[in-house]
Amino acid sequence: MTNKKLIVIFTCVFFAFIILAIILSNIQPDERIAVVTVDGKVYKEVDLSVDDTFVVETSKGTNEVRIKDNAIYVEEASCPDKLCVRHGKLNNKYDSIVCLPNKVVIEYKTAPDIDAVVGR
Amino acid sequence: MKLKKMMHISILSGLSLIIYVIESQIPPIVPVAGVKLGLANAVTLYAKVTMGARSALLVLLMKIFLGNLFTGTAVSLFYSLCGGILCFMAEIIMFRLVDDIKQMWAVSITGAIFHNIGQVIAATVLMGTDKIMWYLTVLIPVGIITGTFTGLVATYTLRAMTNKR
Ligand SMILES: [Zn+2]
Repeated sequence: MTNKKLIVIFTCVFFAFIILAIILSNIQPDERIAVVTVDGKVYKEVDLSVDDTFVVETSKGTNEVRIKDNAIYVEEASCPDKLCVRHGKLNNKYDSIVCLPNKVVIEYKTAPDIDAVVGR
Repeated sequence: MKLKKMMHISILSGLSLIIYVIESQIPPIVPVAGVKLGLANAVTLYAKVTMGARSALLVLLMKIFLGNLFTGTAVSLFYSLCGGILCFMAEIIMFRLVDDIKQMWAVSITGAIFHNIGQVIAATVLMGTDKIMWYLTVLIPVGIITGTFTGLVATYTLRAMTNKR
């Protein structure tokens, strides 16, 4: 492969994904309901129109979740990396706040799929 | 294995380990677990060119296992392994597709992209949610940038080393 070919390929891939990221990040969920899962299981479902603060306790540690002004974010966490805190608010339909050490995931509720039905 | 080769592998493993440990202290660019610059990959590439794929794999595995012994957990080991192995396989294939060693940046970019894909796959498996896939839209462009950087580091190191001989 020539240099030119390679540069064209990588440039296209680069911009294709940037554009995809921009498009996806602008899609908002149909309902402002978030789901908190711990280790793949539903822990709590929350309505973002009601301001609230709660602590998710797992065997690995804790995450303090805050709901304020229709947004949800992790205020404080016991995990060493604090990536869940740094993530900030859940900002689009496909976004998810992930705390890997505590195995906590916060995401918008999607239309019920087969997985959710079987899981319960 | 010859003593000289063994020493060479050890030195490169040590170097790659140091870079890995330093890098793990730098806060990630994107708030996604496991996103690293992957600078240590420059050492793996260097090892592949100078000593072949098997030695490079050894350097990579030494870095992953020892690196996680120092700074990580069983979970981060799984991440590093998924990312590292996928990255390595992609690079081996890419080495065959490029015509010249000067195109190592292309090999490195491909490696970085697949490293990030591997980590997202690991996260999907561990967390039980495919929503993490969305991060790939950010991680692939990031991989292209970091991959270019590490590829150039490897190329210039190689050039400097071969000129001295
Ligand atoms: Zn966390």
